Amino acid sequence: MYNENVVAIWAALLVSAVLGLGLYAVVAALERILVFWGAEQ
Amino acid sequence: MTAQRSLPVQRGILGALLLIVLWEGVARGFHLPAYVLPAMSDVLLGVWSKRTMLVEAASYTLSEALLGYVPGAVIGIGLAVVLSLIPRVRSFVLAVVMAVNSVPVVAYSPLILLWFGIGLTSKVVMVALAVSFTLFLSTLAGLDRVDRRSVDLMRSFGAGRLTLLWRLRLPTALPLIMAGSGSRRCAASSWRSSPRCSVPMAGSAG
Repeated sequence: MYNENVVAIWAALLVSAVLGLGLYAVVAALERILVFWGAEQ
Repeated sequence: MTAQRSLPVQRGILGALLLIVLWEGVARGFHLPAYVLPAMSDVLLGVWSKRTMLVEAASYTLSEALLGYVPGAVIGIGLAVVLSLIPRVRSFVLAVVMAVNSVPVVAYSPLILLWFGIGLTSKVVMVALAVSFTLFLSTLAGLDRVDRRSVDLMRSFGAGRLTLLWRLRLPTALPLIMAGSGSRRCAASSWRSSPRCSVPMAGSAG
């Protein structure tokens, strides 16, 4: 797929970046819940 | 309060939209060929046309990242806690960990493929390695930053090592474990490390 279509590489990069951002957001939300004494600054 | 909390999210979305507009403008404005920089609209169309394959691949990568993240976090945080409880072995272990951590993660991947074979296990090990080193160092730094006077105060009330750890050291270290160099970064690194193992695999398959 990637050899034939350069756009597909960018599509995979984009999806990977968005999902990585989602994972980061989940952990950041967890941090806000767990570290309540450190999150409010 | 809610408006204040949602402000960073709104700014993040605005930043992403600006990037998309800039990307589209540069690609279309300069008539760049697709192999240099395809227009964002083409990329989004590419995502839509390959959505089945991308969702399948993403779910596989996500499962690898999560499967590696949990043992990596347990090993990294556990080792740091053990070293804070037994300070005598700290120098020995820290030297070894720093030496291993100095080697680029990419360099490990062929060895891990040899040891664990081509499959899920090797990728999970790769992610666990990447996560554990980072979490180990941030946890150790968090456990070290405890105020000496607080330790003395708790000891004067008869607190033992485990009580100190549970009541003082871990709560003090938790913000550092979670934030900045801790879990947030590891979440990203676990995501990155998972396909890192797939690259040599793809090479060997081809």
